[in-house]
Amino acid sequence: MPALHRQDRRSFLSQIGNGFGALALSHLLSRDSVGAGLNHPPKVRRIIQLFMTGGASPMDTFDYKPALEKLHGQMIGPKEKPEGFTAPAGAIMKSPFQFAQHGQSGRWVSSVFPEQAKLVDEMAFLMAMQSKTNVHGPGTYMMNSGFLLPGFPCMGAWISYALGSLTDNLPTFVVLPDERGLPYNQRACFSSGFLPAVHQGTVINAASPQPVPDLFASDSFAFANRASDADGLSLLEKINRRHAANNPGDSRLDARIASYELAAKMQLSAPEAFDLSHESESTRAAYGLDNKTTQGFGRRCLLARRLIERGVRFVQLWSGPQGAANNWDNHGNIQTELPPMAASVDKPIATLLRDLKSRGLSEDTLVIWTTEFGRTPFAQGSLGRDHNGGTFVSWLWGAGIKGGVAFGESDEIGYKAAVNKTYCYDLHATVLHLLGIDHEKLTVRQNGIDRRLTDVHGHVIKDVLA
Amino acid sequence: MKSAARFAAFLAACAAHAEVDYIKDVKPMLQERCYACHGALKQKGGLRLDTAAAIFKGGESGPAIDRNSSEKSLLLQRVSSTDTDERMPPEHEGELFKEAQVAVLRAWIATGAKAPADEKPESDPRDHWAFRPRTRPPIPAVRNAAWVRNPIDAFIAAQHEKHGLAPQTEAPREVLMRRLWIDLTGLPPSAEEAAAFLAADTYEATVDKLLADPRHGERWARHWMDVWRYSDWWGLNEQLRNSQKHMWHFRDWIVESLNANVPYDEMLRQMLAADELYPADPQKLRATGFLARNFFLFNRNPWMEETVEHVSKGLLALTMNCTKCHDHKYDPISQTDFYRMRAFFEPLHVRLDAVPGETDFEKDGIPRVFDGLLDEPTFRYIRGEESKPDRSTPIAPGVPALLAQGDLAARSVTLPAEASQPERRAWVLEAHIADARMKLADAQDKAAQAKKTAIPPSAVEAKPATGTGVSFVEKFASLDQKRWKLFGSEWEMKPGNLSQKRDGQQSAVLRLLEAAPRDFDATLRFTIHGGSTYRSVGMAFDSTRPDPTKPGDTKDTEVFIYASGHPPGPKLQAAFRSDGQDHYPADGLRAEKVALNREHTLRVRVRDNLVNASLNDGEVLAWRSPLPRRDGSLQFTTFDAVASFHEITITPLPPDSRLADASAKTKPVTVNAESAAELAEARLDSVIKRADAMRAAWNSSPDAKDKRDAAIRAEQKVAVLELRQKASDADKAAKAEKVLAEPLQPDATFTPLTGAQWTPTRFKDSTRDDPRIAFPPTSTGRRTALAAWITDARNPLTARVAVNHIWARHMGQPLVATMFDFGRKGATPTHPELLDWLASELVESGWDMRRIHRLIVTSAAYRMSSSLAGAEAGSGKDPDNRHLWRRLPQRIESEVVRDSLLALSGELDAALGGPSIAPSAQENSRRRSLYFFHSNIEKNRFLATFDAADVKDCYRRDQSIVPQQALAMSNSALVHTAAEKIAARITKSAPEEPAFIRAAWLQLLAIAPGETELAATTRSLAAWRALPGANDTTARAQFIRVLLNHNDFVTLR
Repeated sequence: MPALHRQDRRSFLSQIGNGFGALALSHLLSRDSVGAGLNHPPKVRRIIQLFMTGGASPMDTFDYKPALEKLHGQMIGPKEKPEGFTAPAGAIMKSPFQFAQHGQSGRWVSSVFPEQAKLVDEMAFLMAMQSKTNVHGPGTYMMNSGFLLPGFPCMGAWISYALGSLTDNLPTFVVLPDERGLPYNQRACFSSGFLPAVHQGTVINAASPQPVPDLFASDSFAFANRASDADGLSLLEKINRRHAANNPGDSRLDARIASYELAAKMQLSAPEAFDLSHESESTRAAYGLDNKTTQGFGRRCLLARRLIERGVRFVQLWSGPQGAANNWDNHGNIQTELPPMAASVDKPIATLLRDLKSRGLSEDTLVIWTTEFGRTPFAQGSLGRDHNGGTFVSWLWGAGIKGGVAFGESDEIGYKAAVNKTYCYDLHATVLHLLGIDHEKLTVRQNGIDRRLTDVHGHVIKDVLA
Repeated sequence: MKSAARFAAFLAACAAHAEVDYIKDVKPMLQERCYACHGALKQKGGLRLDTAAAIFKGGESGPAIDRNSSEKSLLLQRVSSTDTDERMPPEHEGELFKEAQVAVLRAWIATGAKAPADEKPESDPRDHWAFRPRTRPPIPAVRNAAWVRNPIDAFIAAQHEKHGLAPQTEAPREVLMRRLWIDLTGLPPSAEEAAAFLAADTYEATVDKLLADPRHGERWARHWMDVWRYSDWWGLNEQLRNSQKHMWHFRDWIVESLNANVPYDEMLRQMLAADELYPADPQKLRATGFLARNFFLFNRNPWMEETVEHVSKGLLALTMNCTKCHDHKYDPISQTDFYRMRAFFEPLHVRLDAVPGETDFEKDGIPRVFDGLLDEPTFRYIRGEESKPDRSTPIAPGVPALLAQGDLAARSVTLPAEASQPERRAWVLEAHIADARMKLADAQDKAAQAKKTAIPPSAVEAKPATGTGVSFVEKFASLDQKRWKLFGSEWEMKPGNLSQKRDGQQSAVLRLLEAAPRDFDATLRFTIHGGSTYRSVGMAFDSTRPDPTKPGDTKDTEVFIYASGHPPGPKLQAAFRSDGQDHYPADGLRAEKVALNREHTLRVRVRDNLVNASLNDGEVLAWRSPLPRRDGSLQFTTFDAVASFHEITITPLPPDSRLADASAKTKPVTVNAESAAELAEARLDSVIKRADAMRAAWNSSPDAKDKRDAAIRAEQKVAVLELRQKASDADKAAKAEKVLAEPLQPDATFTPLTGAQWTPTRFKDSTRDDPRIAFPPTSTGRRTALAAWITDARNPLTARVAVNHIWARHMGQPLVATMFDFGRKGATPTHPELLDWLASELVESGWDMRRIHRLIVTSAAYRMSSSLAGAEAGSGKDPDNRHLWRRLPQRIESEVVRDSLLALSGELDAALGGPSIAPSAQENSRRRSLYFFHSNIEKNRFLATFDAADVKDCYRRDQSIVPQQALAMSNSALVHTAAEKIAARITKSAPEEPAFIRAAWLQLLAIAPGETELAATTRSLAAWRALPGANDTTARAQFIRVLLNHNDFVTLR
């Protein structure tokens, strides 16, 4: 990096950045060059993933199963309990919601998603996704990291590792959990696993007045202020320079200096990026910020757009915390538990897609809607549905995606995937492909094994690609 | 499955070269896909595929390859078949070969199946280094004998010499000092300790002193807590789902055992089987928290799997978890071995044993295991699937055949009566009686107090109301600083709304600075938006507290009335503060709906001691404050609530306004208090009589039956009084009273007093506790047998694993990188002889860990510099420092970062042990970080930022470097407070600037500053002093803050 440029940037930051993090700028390092590089020209440069915690029911949303109407009330489910937590299967239960066909493509969508229904011609559906488990924790791990167990990097971390950042000023991989709590597995869902820790998701509580903790020093400490920090800059510069000379080749020292640099840049960029008051009233209303039902998820959608716009590579949004309420784990009563969840995301999602399009961001942005598994066509209790890894729906939208297509089919009652089954591996392989990466070539050697996001599996789903 | 492009490319390559390289293309593929069953580990069908010669030789079905025809070659046929009976690998054992892979094989065979002649077969798994018996290797003779301080160095030097490396020079004395203190105690040396160490050559003596320091036990306990997966309990809200309440007893046992230098093997025995080996010793029973920690409410299976996995990984570095579904692919461990290991633990359940003086298990109790299901069979799950147990063959406890040694037979253990009947422990019945006595005394006190403070209703009406003080409507157009004062950090003023934004259990207060009317009518319109738990908003009067957000003096009082949106019991509550505590009288409570995000109106009218409060114009709560009226402030408060105030109206109470009297609405306080005292007395009587009856039964005394009957009667009386407490239970109370008059039913029983509480499971139904598990009089002895095998000196793994853990934490790099996997897929030791020598030292010294610590930290290897300066040779030949020619700098653990800040501030609370510090108390706590409540869900944010232990699996700590650490170090209140205190503390001992600067560098970073550093610091201090509003104190605090952000504060060089 040219010295003049460095000087400019430093003086700029020390004038504007009211922050101690700016202290370490003397050792501005050029950012790590990208890890694995690209295998082919990318279609996608940034991603927003929408994750419905708890297992969103396919046959009550996107997977229309008329057979359930005929078979309603019949006891034809499996006799054994499929897995630890799962209850014995009850009678077949039809969806309590009306389905209608939408768009040129004629996709069936239930009445719980009226807004997304208007955009089905832009979406590509994976109609027969399968999970290897019926349990939330492992299922959520699987959809994020491709493994049922903790310790593996999630997709965001792999992408951060492979492609690095689009911006110097914000983290590469940001996670926006539900303000009511973290999903199953908590932060382990956003882990960098065996990849360097710098690739882990940066968790931001969008609803907090202080989304990034400790971004600035509290006013209550008089000794630390803008002026004193400016002088601290020169002192730490000297100390560090000398220290680095005494300890040549210490990569950790270099990395620490770089971490102070990013912290300083976050001080500059984060307040602006996270401040939704810059958005117009009409935008805020379109995202549903004026409405109690939609404001939580709407705020995260709007924030996701702002972050993507500012160069964050991967934003993961969660709908619902782990636990017995406020998520998509509708064991008790589909008719009463699902609609509020659906309503909380439907309008914000539709607005997000339209907004990305109108701003030209859809040219290189991919949006993924998914969940950890589906739900049984059989009733649990009398009105709810239990976990079902057998089949579930995800959709893709945006750059490189062929709109209006559906890949795969579940069986007649929506219990198991039947045609063109896909696993998380295939979804992950496809996402990496869109980013210009061959999923078989993105490997890291760990304990003697070349680890991949897709383990030893995964096929790019060509049918959904434009 | 279609890698068409690759296949085409491959075919093109084949056409061009017409030859496939066996070593490069074929062997790795066979190794990955076939060796697990057709190699050294197993030879299914008599076939090995690990050399070309073996492939030609074939197995029971004949040669695997037909040199004349690839298509006739069995190998090719089997890997390309899709027939379930034919295909290889078989179904469930691996995916089918890809077309391209089959093509490689075909091409190899077609081109003559060429392979090098000197190909070596896979080595016998029994010859794997970690499974071979441990031997004590001779200490090598080395050329660099001058460098060698003890045998460790001889092993290291031998390897240096073999690879042409030279050890780095010894680190500077101040660096060694910080290294020793932090490594052995987790804290930097005090100024006095530092001065003493630097003044004289006392390295060895210092090591001994620090190893004997109780802080050493705390430091190393945290390391072992990582390995042994310490976790406080977690679940969903209040429901315990994982680990156990009061798990801190296990942590204290670790600290105490290390400080007493309890041998490692003995520690393991206690962790695995103290309930069988020392059933009457509650101190040792704490060790079984190691197993109790794996508790899982809903399902036995993950509980057992985690136990098997982490006993194997943590104590033996075996990845037995890989064998849950199938035989191990790399190590000689069968799937059945997994279930054999599980069978050792199959009978166990968890309970809390009462501790002396406490009968409430929510408050305290020792979490421990016991064999509850003595005959519970273990079945192998087919392909690991819980729904497919192979019930044909119950699996007996056992260990992998290769590692079997010694006597593995479990012998049933007869437990002392106190173990199966913990109420027999000498102090248990007494504790119940003492507890009931205390509650009675308390109830009697309250009754007396109520009598004293009760004001006769007539007194109120007799007094005229007063009418002075301000009167206004506050609509919060802006915040009038003359009228109001805010307490609390996150108020936000927007026209029409004064909002309190901070979530968490603290108060925020809006205080009226003007004089309020003595008797008043005040209304608060507000909205509660959220809050972690209590969500309380209300007002207080007569507050004499100088700062209402701080505990203050015990003489201070106030009366407060608030609405609480706490989900289980939203309410309107009148309460008061006296004796430094808040009191919430039952007669001041009314259940009310208090919804979030809805506007509420709280109206409070006060005349003398009489308070009338209503929420949203609802029914009036009439309550009398027991406090005398005082001159104090009127204020509006939030507690644990994110809330907005919209409008406040205050007027003097008109003299003619009629208030509802407390006596008219609620029972007089005195009546409630008196009946509570009566109930407490009956309860004490019942406890005494039950204790009597239990003793009589144990001793088979002749009056046992009489005592039993008396106990039953006493309990029935309690039931009657309990029912009388509530008017709605009047019918039930009358019925219960009738029973008292009737003769006792023959099957009547009393509730025995307990000395332990089984932790209920919900395996059968997730909404209901399973039937209670009794405490059997015997234990299976299985875990004793397992512990004996693990701690047997002949076990090749245990000691090697232990010294590797210890070595890694002293040196910053392990001898075997895969600390939880010493199997064939794991890393090979960098210094195999050293590992064995250390393991032998451990075993032969009677598993004396302190001896190993001492050997390591007094070695020359430990004292090497971490600098790369002047070490070009080493950096070139061994950049990863595999051969230990220098030391690697380490990022200190999260606990050390926080504890160091407190220690340098002189603030660290040196108290040892005790209950975990709750998350809400951590911010202000000065205790060491290992005492913080730490679970899968609850992690201190500062500690988590610096890679706190993952409670699921933490055989090695992460050492991440992320911007959040920079933000925490430069901006958190913790670091700022520390900077101020450290500056003040160093100034006290070194007031002169040059001395101050030197001391700061040395204490914080272990660097003796040179002229450059001194000059730069002096200049900066001068600049900071010259800033507006600055002085020496602020300048020095700022300087300390800079040093705390220096890389070397969080680095151990």
